[in-house]
Amino acid sequence: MSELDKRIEQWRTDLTTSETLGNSDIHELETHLREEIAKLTTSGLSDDEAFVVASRRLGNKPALEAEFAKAHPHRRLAHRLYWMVIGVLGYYLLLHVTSIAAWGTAWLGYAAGVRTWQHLAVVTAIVRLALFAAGSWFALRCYTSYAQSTARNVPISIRASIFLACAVLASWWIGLLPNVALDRIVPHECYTCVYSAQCWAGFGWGFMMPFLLVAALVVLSVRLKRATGQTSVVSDGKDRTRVTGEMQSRLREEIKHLTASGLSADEASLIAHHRLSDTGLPRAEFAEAPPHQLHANHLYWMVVGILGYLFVSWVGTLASSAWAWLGYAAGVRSVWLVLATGTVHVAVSFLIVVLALRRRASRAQTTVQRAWISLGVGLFAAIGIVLSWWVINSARPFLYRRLSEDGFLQIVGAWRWVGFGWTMLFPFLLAGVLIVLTMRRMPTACSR
Amino acid sequence: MAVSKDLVAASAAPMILSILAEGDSYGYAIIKRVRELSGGQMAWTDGMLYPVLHRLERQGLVESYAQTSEAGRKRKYYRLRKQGTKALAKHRDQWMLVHNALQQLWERTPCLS
Repeated sequence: MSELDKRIEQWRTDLTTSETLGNSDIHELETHLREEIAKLTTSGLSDDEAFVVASRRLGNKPALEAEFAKAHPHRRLAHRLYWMVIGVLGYYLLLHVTSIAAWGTAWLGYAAGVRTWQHLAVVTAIVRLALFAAGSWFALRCYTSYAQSTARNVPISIRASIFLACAVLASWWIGLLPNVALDRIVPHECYTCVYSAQCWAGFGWGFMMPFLLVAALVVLSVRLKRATGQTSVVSDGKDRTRVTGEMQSRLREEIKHLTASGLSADEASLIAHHRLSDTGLPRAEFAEAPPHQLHANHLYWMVVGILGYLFVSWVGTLASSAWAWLGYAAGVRSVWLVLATGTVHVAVSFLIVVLALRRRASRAQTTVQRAWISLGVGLFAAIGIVLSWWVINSARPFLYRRLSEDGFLQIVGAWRWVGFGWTMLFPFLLAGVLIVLTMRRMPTACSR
Repeated sequence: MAVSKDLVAASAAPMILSILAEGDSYGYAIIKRVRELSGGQMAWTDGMLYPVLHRLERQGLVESYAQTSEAGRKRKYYRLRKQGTKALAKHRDQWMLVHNALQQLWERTPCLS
């Protein structure tokens, strides 16, 4: 790969992180850039000089982004939604896989002689957290190298979306079935010990995760602010070195010569200064951001997606469980109770999503939130998640004491069935959203 | 004398439609043609042409197709559609109207003395 190809590659990689430019747009712009460079080199410019002039003519990244946003007003939102959905699916896959590992650890721990559930719970939680961190790190590394090698902003195909949804579901079943089976095989005492260890580890998990996500959100938003500050550096050519005396006349001649070959006065002055004073050409037109910063934007929206999903999910569950109770009090029984609870769950979740999206869409111009806004919104979501989760879990023993056994079973049964339906359907719903967004963002002619 | 930014933006759509009316073309060639026609005085930032083309495509005034260039790269060509021809006629009428009005005013100016 020649030096010029490398610079173009870098220029393209920088554009792929944009929220409003699609792959085919970048391809179209690259074709333009290459033609312009070819024309400029025939008029006597070196590859490096031609690249700088051509990329200046094409416009810098923020200006291009703003213009494309005007032509495609919904792209920014679609882009963010895309990464949110990938974030949620990825999170669930990782969650289920680590849950299987945690289950294995708890049983192994029991077999190795740890007999109290408290100790087992601590071991399980540590192993799970470590595995989750390792899994996230691995996924990130794979993603970064993949995104760099393809330089595309939509890395997941339709087939991969369906595969991801099936994997989420399969891992959930794999984590669930052995527990059910072992309940019948092993002695009751042993099962209770391991099961409570898992439950307590899960409790710690549910409590900690939202706050970990908030921390990730804040770190990413700080990093992104720094990254955007770096990449939007546009050289206006004012940092040229001063030239005096005889150099002045040579410079004038050079500029005259360059403008005669078709360069504008500003471009000619930039190149002439470079040639005479030996200062390097401005390389910051499209800055060399390190890879982990390049894709921090995608990561940011993934974390927002996961946090948002957990919030919607738990607030929806809270509303639906309250509804199950009310429904039972009003005399609704069996299947009807399940149906009513499910409808409320879906309706409340849908309502929150629509409200959040409408609010965001109206402020879609801002790229990434400031750290303190991320912290505020994130903490609100985290507290909402933990609180609704706590209310739901403490409502169960309360109900158990207050209601007849039949009533308790009816209500808890309704929750469980709704939760089951939700778990079964949701990955596919997400895969559907992903497919629609992929199709919208993958127009023709995106091959290189 | 460079043309002001606002005027460049306002004339972008009729300019592109008129160039496409001469025959199918692609981004780089359109920019070159604009430079040629204005003697380099209409300074477009090259990248701004594409969003305008995409908007015209979404409005159904032009359509695009891929064709491989001599260098082997896929180029996106744009073609004027029937609706585009109609829109161009409308643009033409409006610009002629403005042009005539201004011309009348400016022709009268020397008589003020």
